[in-house]
Amino acid sequence: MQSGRNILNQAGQVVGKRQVRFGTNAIIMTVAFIAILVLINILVARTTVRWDLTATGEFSLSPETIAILEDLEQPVEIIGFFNQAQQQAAQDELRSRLESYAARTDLISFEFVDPDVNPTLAQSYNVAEYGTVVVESQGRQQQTVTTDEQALTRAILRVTQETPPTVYFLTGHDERSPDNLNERTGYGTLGRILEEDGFVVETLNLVVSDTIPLESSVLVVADPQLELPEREQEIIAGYIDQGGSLLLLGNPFTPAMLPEVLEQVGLAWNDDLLADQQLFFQQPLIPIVNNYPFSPITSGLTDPALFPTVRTLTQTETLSGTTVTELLSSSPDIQIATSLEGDVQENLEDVPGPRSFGYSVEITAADDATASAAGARMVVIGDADFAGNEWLLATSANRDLARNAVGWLMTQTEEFTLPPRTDPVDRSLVLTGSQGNLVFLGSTVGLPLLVIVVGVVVWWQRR
Amino acid sequence: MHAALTIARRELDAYFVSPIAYLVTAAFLVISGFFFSIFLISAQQQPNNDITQVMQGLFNNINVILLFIAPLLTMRLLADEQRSGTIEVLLTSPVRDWEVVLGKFLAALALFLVMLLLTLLYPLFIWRMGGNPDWGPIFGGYLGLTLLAAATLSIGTLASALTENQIVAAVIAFAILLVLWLIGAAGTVWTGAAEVFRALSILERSDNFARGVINLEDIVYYLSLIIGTLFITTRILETRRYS
Repeated sequence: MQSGRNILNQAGQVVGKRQVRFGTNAIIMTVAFIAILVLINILVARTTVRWDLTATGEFSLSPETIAILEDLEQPVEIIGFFNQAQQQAAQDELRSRLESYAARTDLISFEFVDPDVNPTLAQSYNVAEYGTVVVESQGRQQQTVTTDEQALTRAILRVTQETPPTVYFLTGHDERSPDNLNERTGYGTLGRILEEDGFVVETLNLVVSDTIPLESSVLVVADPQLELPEREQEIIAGYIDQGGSLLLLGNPFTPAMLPEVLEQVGLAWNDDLLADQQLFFQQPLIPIVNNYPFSPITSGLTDPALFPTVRTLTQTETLSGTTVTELLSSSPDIQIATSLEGDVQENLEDVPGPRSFGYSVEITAADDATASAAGARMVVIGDADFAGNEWLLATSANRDLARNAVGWLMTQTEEFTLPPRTDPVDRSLVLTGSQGNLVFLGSTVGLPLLVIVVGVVVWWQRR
Repeated sequence: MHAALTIARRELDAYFVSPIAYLVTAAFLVISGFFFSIFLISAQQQPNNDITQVMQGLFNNINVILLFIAPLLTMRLLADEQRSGTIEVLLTSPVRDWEVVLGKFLAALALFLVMLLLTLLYPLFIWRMGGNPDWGPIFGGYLGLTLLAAATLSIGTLASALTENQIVAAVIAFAILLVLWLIGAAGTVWTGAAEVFRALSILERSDNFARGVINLEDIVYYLSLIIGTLFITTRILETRRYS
């Protein structure tokens, strides 16, 4: 630097102009000054000093999250897979949230990866969607595409808590098996997907074991070919009474599963086979659903879902303290068969539609009559084939319906839920039509005109 | 410092004697008033009729307006003095160079703040109509706009020092601002340096304030940009003294 400056100084003297020398000094000073400013910015950028001005503390972590972060004992790594070109805003929002997580503990680290730039990394984590966040700790991982505080903290808790969230598949009655990857009816593919979602997938035989673990668990009963023994039905009913989570997948013309558990929430299986005649090109015995209700289980579903051979369900009564949401229903133009004997097509008879074959159930208040504890959740679907190896990946809706159902059921048996961040103050302003006109004319014409008038007056006086 | 304020006052007087300040202010108010009333009225039809978000939408649009009016407000500051030769008088007077630069810059900033002050009538209107917005993000939005305005006006001042021609000064200022505005997008091409481009972008910062979150990092960025730019402007004037 010094010698370079000398050369320039000499050059300046040679040319004989002070300007060159002075210009050189100015450049050196400017470069040094800017370097200092850049350094200050880099140092400050490493800190997370921020003030949250929102009334609800939207940008501050909840006490629940802070407690979980402070209790962390093992490192947690978070990777956001975002498309840099199109998801800048979403990524920035997540980054700012993760910065406040990392500010609480040294054990959290995070990075962002563009799956298009680094496809191998995205593949090794089985990331299928842009905007996926992978939370990983000591070999356990969780994925989430929701990036609010609730989802992030839950994912951190799931990979670090002692009991990992576990999906139990009931066995012993010829059910669908999560280990069966080969047969078309097997549930091996579903098992894989649930494992990718960070769940432990296990089979549960109630002949061997007397209880179903309550904490962080979901019980799946998928298409048993034999009727469940009384004792096992009681164990499952007891699990629900304690606030458990149950996924029931039933097929036509098999023993009706857990009729008493369903009766308690006002649902019943019908002994039938549904044929949906709505669409010309459609195989009637494979009903297609492409209208979904507003529900956390069906949110994000856009493709049509396919259900090969469906038995319908009926809501027999509406019980207080129990929220039953219809998830899946047929078109109005349907037929049903009540017997499998002979040719099914000939057994079909016209019935008034639509009929339902999927419900989600949430017991919101403990009811003495049913003895069910508040918090229990159930998803009941009159088809088990849609989640089998052959059909699960046929459309994204089949896959997402199954994984969302398990995800929704799992959140209930976990201890962590954040209170909703609602603003107690009404932030709305209702204007009448004339008030609307007033504000429009006042702000676009009145106020600017006033400024012009003032200008003219000032100009007049100064003239 | 006293000298800088004197220069600022003289410059501000010049703004308000000419019709330009009034015309620019009126035009600014037409555009921002249009955005405000449109957002407020269209919020009526939305299920989530949140007036805090109406103000946020307004702030995000005033940001864009700034990109266009900052060059207009600053183009004359130093370019005109150089064209008419009065800069010699200024620079040879006992006033220090940085005081000249600071004074000119403060005058432009004061003019913009007057314009911004008039937009306070919008939240005042909301309040008078019985609305109860979340005032935190609104305060944040005004703070963010003030910092962004100071940063864009300092760049305009710099551009005005580079040339004797006002139009050229405005074009240079607009070009620099546009680059700083869009530089974050360069990160999508050179992904390796995405962080750097993002850190430089003037746009990425301004959103946070209106959302109600004030990062020390963002404040330091704007202050550095302002101080750095005014420092360079002073050096340019200094160099010019010997030419």
